[in-house]
Amino acid sequence: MTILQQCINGLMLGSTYSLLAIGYTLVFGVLQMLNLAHGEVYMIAAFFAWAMVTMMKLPFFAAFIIASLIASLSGLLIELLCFRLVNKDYPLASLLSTIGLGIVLQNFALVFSKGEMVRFPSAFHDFNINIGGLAISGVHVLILSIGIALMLSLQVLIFKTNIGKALRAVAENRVVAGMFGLNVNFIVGVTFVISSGLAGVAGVLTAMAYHSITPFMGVEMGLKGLTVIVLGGMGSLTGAMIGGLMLGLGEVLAMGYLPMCLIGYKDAIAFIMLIMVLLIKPSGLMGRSQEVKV
Amino acid sequence: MGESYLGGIAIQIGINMILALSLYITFSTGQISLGHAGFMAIGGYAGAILTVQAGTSLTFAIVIAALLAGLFGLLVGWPALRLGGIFLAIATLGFGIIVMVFFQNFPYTSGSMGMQGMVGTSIPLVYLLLSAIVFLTWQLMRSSWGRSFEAVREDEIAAKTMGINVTVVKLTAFILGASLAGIAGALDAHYMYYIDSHNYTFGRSIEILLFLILGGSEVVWGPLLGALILTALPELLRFMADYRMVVYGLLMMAMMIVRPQGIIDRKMFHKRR
Amino acid sequence: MLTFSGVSKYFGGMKAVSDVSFGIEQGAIHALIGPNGAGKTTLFNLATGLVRLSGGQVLFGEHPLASLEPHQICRLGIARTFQNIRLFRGMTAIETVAVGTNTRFHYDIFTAMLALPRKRRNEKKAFDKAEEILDFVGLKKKSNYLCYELSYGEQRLLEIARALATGPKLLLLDEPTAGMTETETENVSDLIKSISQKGITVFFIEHDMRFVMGLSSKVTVLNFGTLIANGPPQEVQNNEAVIQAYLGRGGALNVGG
Repeated sequence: MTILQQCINGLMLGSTYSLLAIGYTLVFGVLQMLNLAHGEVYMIAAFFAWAMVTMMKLPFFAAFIIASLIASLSGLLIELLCFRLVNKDYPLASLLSTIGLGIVLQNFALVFSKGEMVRFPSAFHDFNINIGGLAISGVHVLILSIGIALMLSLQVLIFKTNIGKALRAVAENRVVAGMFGLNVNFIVGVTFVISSGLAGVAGVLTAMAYHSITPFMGVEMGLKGLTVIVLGGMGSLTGAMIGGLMLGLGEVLAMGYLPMCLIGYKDAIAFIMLIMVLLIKPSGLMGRSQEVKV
Repeated sequence: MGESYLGGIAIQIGINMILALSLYITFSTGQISLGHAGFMAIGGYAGAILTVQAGTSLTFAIVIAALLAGLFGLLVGWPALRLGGIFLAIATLGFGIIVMVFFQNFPYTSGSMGMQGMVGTSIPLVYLLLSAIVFLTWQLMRSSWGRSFEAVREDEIAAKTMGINVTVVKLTAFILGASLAGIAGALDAHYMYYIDSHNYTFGRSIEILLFLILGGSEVVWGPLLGALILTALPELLRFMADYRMVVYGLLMMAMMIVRPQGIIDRKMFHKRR
Repeated sequence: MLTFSGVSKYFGGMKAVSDVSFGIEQGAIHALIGPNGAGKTTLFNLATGLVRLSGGQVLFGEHPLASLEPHQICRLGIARTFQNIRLFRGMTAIETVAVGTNTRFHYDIFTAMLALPRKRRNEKKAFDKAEEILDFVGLKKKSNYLCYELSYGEQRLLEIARALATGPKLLLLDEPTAGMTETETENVSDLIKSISQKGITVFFIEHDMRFVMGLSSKVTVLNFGTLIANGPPQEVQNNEAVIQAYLGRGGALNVGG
């Protein structure tokens, strides 16, 4: 595989990381809290899509749409159970609650799949595009395009529409936004719908690209997404997008060029980077540091 | 070896109680650690190397495990001082995973093949240590130090201006918590006979957290209750083994809605004036 | 006792305090007033080490405070209360005040864990002191109440008690009568006089003009981060710039007395 090929793979992988990271960062930006069940939404969407394709014999496109919708709706459920109903006096209660939900979802999937890898059937006959001697998998390009299209749409939504403005207002200062008449609960709900929807899309796309899903893919992805947003700046959309692509690239290249003995430590590398960023500049590349008011 | 079934459970309860207390001490200053299994791993592997490969006594191994874990507590706790709340949670999460991945690959401890041959943990040993630890922790919390811990947790800024050296307080709590986890790790390794990195996953760290969430995170007795319930219950509910984690997850969510401070809270001990 | 010398503080590009110079004499009851946002709390934060100086110096006696941590400043003898009450949520009143005595009746962690005799001695001293101070501020009956069970006014008193427990030479009170009733305010006024009689210098921020004028020996006025007046109450009251600052904002300075 040439380096350019690897770069395309890296970008494709990265675009799924970005989609997930964006969801994380959206919720963090608006609520200053992390939804650690995010990775599990990604995983559940993949499983739903699988079930629809194999058991209900639905066409891939339909499965994709429906699974993503289910993911979006689950976002509302998460908002209700882990954020709205939770006792706000207790620090990090929501965070812990989402960890709990993640555990529940993961274990349902575990029981369902009996711990084995589940094979996701091929969406299309693998066709390759040949450009100047390079063979690029058509599926990968499709996924990269969908990913980028969604990210751009989100940019438009956030920065060019009224609802996007409302979202940014709530993210800036929830109390004041409420005082200005914005329906904060509605906005929070929308945030979760978008966030979880993106996770769902990422999940189905990954399943289609790599043909296999496991109950553990959520945890892995979730933690990677975390690394991305810490790197890119928690609350920064651009940071999430660029960070995701960078991590994808970095991982693929590392896999290709790291000496054998270090391969196992690959996972630790992401976390070491995460910790270093937290120590040096917790606000990440793009975030703003916050001063505590007395 | 040759422990009876109930004996085994008793030992596990004892070890989990120590683990619960270890997290409790750290948490009492407001520092959430989602990677406590990492300190446990350090204690476990260190103890294992000492008894199995260097042939030392278990007692010596436990002491070294405590010191080594404590050292890492300092190494992690020091930079963690700057992080608060959610950033600290993420950093400790990362730490726990790094430790796990490290032991998964570290050839000296046989990587994913694990280590074996550790023996020596007995009920008297566990409960002797547990009693001592409970006493020391209880006394600690009922002292000016305990009040400092609480002050730092409730309002760091106010604590600072009242003369409390927040840095020392937080570090002390972190190091103590890590040491205790190390002790528990050593005890656990010498009970399990065999350990590998799967013993110290993120799930393990969450289990320890759950002791506090369920039992109570405000007073010493809470973590003990949590450890007791969550160690004994799965044995009673063996038939539901597959769904054990589902129950844990639901429990976490429910507690956060209904009673985040856990079953036993401080108000229970508040004398009516 | 406390000297501000050319003190400035910038938050990003925003000037909070600019070139402020004045001194607080030992034994004084010194008031700091000014419209909202004038930089008063920032000055407090600078004096207690919660915020770093952008320029100038703060001296406590001979000690420059610039490089000191808040807890070190407290040990030197400066204690404070906060504009938005900052109590320790789950503690009882007496426990809260006892926290203030930490530096005075200190014992190391091993003594604490092993319950050595020294611990019992110091605990007794700490709680006796705490009770004494609660009595002094008038909260003795509520020693075992949890902080949040106290009324708003009582919570403010508790904060003062906690600060007193550290054994300060200088007490900084940030809006001690905010939200209080007429009676409670009188109470605080008497309390401050008692504190002063004990030899503790008091420096406080306030908006209640009658309170300020009736109580203080010296008044400093800030507006937009700069010092516009500094002197005895009568003098400040009649100062043109001060009147402008308050009238210009729609505030009232007239206290009829």
